[in-house]
Amino acid sequence: MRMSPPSPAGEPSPAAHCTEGAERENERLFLHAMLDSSPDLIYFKDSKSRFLRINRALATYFGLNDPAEALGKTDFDFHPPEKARGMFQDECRIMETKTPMVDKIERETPVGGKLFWMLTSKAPLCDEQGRVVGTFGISRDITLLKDTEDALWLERNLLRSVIDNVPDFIFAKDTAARYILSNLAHTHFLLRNSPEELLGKSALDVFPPEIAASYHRDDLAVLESHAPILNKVELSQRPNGGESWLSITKVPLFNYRGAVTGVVSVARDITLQKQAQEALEQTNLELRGSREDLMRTLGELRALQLELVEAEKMKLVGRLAAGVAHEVKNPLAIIEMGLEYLTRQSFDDPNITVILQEIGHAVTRADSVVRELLDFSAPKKMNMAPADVNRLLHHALVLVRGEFNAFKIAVHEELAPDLPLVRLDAMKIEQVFVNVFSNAAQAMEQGGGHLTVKTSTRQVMGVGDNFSHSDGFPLGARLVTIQVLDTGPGVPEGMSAKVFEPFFTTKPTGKGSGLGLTVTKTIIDLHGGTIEIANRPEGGACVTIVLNANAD
Amino acid sequence: MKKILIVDDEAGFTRLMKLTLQKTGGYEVIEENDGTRAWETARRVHPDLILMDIVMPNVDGGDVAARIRKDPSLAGIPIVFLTAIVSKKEAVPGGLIGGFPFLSKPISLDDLIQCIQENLPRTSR
Repeated sequence: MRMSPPSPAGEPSPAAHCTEGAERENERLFLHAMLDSSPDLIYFKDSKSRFLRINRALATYFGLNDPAEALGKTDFDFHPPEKARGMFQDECRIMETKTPMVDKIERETPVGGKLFWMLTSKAPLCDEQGRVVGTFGISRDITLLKDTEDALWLERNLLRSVIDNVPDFIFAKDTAARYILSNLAHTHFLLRNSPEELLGKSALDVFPPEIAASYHRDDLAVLESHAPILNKVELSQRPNGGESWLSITKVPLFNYRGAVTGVVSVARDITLQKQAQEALEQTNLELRGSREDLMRTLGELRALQLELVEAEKMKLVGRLAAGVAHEVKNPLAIIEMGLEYLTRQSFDDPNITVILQEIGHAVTRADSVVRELLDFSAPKKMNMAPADVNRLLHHALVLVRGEFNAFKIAVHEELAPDLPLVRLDAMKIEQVFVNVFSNAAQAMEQGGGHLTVKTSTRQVMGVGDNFSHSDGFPLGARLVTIQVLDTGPGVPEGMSAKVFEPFFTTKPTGKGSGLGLTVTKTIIDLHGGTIEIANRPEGGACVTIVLNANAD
Repeated sequence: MKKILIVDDEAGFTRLMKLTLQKTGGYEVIEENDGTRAWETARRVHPDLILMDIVMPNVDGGDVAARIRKDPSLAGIPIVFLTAIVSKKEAVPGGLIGGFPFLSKPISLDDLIQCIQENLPRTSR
């Protein structure tokens, strides 16, 4: 008996016969060794599909202790009938057609056992004359292989589903920057019907030269450096000329040995996002513009309101002041003239000279109150020009030096060197500084003290604390702050706002008209600035004046 | 002796001015307390200088000054305003009101004498 296909056989010689015997013995030994040690299941059957011989592995598979126990039995003795029938039919066909059945994958479910897979090949078994006398077969347990293959298939299927169903463009190129993968989104973006139309092509075949060159440069950079490019935003052009903004990430593709074999790219079309962002920026810009317009209008309205209130108030105060001046100054003029006459006379009583001097002082005092009232109500004509605030402060300090010296007041200047020029009426602002200094000096009249003048500059920024402290100054305005700090008794509690009201004074009668700080505030208001007075924690008062260097 | 006409509705003021100027400056002083009659008085006495109040009942010193200036017989007479309602700080450039020099009440005698001397016509000084 020999296995099919039969090999041609000639008549053996006597010498050959002896050799042939030895060879047969050898073959038998080899066959036995192979059958007994092979992990594959091997059988030989007769024409009725009865086992002639099975190997040890198959005996174990059938649950037999000895392969010889299978002799004369069929698959129907070991397999479920349906399965045994299939095997029988396969073997009948093999014998009939003399055609082997190669690598048939069979699903095996032994009773109570777990599912496994066999790879089976069967062939006709022929005798010396080439007649088919049965079949033989070999089956290999490929469950592990099959499981691995299934897992691989599942993984590949999952990956493919993801790649083809995400809206992002996923594509890969080899080391020569030719497409080796393109998902559906990318394929459709490039107006191709199937990914295969792109495979083997390069960016140059798909994009305009300058865009292709940029992509090619990036691909080469990733290939050479192995460093990924993350979320690079670029304007891309589709084959029909349509433009899209893409956010592209490129990472190197490694093989199992760690060598770079290509570049995998993921690109996202962010055109809508970009357009929305641009629209938002435009809206923001417009809003900022509107806001600035509103702030400007508000500023103008405030100034106008102030002017109207000021004009109305001044009209009234002006009339009052003129009336008071006329009614007070005329009698004063008479007293003054009388004094002048009397002063030039000689009297026996020396007290008369003292009395006349006192009357003269009283006239001067009354006159100065009326003069200040007239100053206060005089029409405000502003003579605006860019000026150096530090220089004005310095000049004003010189003007009140006499007062400081008389009251033993030490002056300290802490003037910022980088102050911008401020558009202002130098005469009026100097009057403000003189008033504030003079006020501070009078506060320190008893026992002297220290007067510190500080200047600084800052810009009104967009939001946050800075904005909330902008005091209505427009966004971006460069502000100049002047602080005058004294070591006097400070402002009585709750009087900080009142000090700017007309005829409010903390000085003893005859020491002030009560109009000095009112005039000061009016001048600062006319400059669109702010003035505040507060007590310092360490004692004394601090006057803070803020002017807008950008104001018209 | 130089003649000075003082036009002011304050009789007390003009009286004291007259006494003082006569005693210390050696001027002849004529008072006129009714502004509406100032022009006629000026024509009558033909002073060397007129001291003129601005705010007076029924008439404005400025108008009276303008009328005197327009009168050819009086046109050369210098006029100095005396005013209670203009402070020196707010004075018009050059210390003039309507082109006339002025003194702000109350007036010191020194300022008054200096102003009179400066404004009296040189030939008749």
